[in-house]
Amino acid sequence: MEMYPMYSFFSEEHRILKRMVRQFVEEELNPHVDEWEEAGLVPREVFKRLGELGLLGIRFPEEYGGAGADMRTTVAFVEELARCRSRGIVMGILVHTDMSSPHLVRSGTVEQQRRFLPEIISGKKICAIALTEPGAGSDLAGIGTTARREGKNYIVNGSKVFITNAINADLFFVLVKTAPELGHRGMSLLLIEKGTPGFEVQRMPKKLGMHGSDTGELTFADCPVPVENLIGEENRGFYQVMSGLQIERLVSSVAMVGHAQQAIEDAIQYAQERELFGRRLADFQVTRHKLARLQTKLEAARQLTYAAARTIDEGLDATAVVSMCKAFCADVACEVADECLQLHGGYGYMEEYDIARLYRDIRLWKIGAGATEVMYEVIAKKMGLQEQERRAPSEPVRAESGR
Amino acid sequence: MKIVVCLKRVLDTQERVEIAPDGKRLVSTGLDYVMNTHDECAVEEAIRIKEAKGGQVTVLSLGPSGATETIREAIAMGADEGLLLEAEGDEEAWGPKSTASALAEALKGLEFDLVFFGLESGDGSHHQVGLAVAEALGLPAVDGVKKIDFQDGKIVVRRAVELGEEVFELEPPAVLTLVDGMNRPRHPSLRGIMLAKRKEIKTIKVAPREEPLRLIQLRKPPERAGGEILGEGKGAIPKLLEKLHEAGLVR
Ligand SMILES: Cc1cc2nc3c(=O)[nH]c(=O)nc-3n(C[C@H](O)[C@H](O)[C@H](O)COP(=O)(O)OP(=O)(O)OC[C@H]3O[C@@H](n4cnc5c(N)ncnc54)[C@H](O)[C@@H]3O)c2cc1C
Ligand SMILES: Cc1cc2nc3c(=O)[nH]c(=O)nc-3n(C[C@H](O)[C@H](O)[C@H](O)COP(=O)(O)OP(=O)(O)OC[C@H]3O[C@@H](n4cnc5c(N)ncnc54)[C@H](O)[C@@H]3O)c2cc1C
Repeated sequence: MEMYPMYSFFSEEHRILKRMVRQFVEEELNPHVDEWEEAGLVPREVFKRLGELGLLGIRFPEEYGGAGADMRTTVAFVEELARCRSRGIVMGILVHTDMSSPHLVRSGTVEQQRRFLPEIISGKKICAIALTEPGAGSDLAGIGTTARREGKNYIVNGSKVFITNAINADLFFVLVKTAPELGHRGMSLLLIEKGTPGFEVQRMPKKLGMHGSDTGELTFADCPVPVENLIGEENRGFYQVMSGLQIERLVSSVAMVGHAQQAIEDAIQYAQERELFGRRLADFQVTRHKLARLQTKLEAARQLTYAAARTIDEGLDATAVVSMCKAFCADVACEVADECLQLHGGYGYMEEYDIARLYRDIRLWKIGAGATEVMYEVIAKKMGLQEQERRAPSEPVRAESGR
Repeated sequence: MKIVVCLKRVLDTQERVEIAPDGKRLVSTGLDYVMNTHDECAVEEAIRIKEAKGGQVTVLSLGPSGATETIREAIAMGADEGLLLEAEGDEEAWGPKSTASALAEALKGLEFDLVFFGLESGDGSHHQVGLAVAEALGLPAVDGVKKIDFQDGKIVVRRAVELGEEVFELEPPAVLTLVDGMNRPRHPSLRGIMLAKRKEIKTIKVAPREEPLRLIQLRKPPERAGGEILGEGKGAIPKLLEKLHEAGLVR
């Protein structure tokens, strides 16, 4: 799998897992991706199959069917899953495994875990995370969806946009305001099941890339959600979501590295086959240097994902390293996609080669899971570079609440 | 049924392999080792037999210390135990004879009804070890088995030969070498991988005892001549028939 020797971040079990996932992707995903991209969603059977292989509960407790493994195991899984020729499918899977359901493990009660985790881990139920709204994306503290306590229920009103897995999902982790007057200190996370009265899902059609994932809009109109579906503490939802975002950002970074590595490998192959001006494209020194420079940057990006994973495994605050990782990986992956498309010439612009799709898919990652600018805000703050406040001191600080 | 599967880790055949300038070795750009494909089918077959009839599957491998990974992979698929014969010295010092005698020695200490080998290894392709082990242990062997059945206490195995198949009946203990393609090996599950991680792999150090085969020269097969295009669609049929007649392939 490796191009050049290097110390191994992985142990034996991770390498066995990597080979397994690589084969699974080659045999069971890649032959179908064109069809699934066309359909615009990941078939539910894919989740069940991943469940059978034990891949939907990598870090989850063994008593519910998880593997109780570490973040390195997740990195091993995602690096190989990322070789799927539909990055949208990869995103749909990762939203389930790493961006939504971990909230249940981190903040859920034993009762909630017992109720939901087995079906999440076996792939019978699919999960989504619903934070973004028409009026608030980066600025999550500004969401307008509310949940008003009424007897045994919360009554939810509002809407969410850009929600991955919206069509497929059974379980939605929804960020709401339970005490709107308290700003980001009045937010909570609710688990809302599809089919709850007043909860509607609509597909958001036509996006630039990520066609293999189903993106949708959620609306809640006086939707009653049982109080026992509160995940974590009331009014602590913002902090829960922020800590969950670290994992979301790490796994998306690992995915980007995997996608970009595949783009480079494809470009190498193309450059060795394509002939122009009487020699192979790879025989131009400029081509070789371009690919070498891209591989070097990508290796640096990859090592940053390893550093971030290690930081999380050691229980340290990974906010800074994860933010650096997310911003840097997105930059490098987009650069790799652009340069590798360029090497394909006119063919790179056509759907015949995967690079056209990859180029579209990868662009999301400068925006999704936290825009690059938001990452820089977080990093700058860790560096002691904080904006001098111009607003009234009573207002919550926006930069702090940036996702 | 107690089955021992002998397996080897080999360089990933998906990587590019070339003949070294001295013509005596293969060099690979790859760095990744995988389970030999024939052996993977042997592991799968053994696990299926265990699942159907009960028993135990032990994997035995001769190789460097890193071969525990390949053994664990087999355990992750469903094998029960692993034993590594940790090979001292360079790989070149280990010919098929030395390998077979070390494996036979280790097998004497194990209980088994059947010993499975892959037909041959994807790297050396000597196609000798399984049969040499059977010889050393004085056991019956069938080479190139593509199907195994159990009937009235007998083991019925089939091997492909030109124009048909040979069917053998055996009584354990026996040695079988199995061919790739007889089954579709399962993916190990993550649960299996985590179980295998905790499994201790017993290790015995071994040294080569026989002279290795001396390799004189490796050569690439001659380039095959490009095909001849006779025409397109139906129009090509008469020309094609003519050629087949000329070659005596149709009458
Ligand atoms: C395909 C897709 C799938 C998605 N899946 C999900 C999902 O499953 N769940 C979910 O909740 N959301 C999802 N999202 C939403 C995504 O997280 C948001 O789009 C993202 O957080 C940005 O929010 P926004 O679109 O509202 O942009 P805005 O917040 O309006 O930001 C616009 C731009 O402003 C700039 N900017 C932002 N903050 C700053 C700052 N502090 N300083 C300087 N510049 C800044 C950035 O360039 C940013 O791109 C998805 C989006 C897409 C496109
Ligand atoms: C949508 C579309 C519309 C088009 N319309 C037309 C049209 O109307 N008429 C027409 O004739 N053509 C048309 N083209 C073709 C277009 O002009 C060619 O794709 C372009 O000239 C590149 O040629 P190529 O695709 O053969 O790439 P190649 O020549 O194979 O080049 C591949 C890559 O190699 C690299 N490269 C090339 N030369 C060198 C060099 N000297 N040194 C180092 N690196 C080099 C570059 O990165 C280049 O992108 C169209 C293409 C597309 C995609």
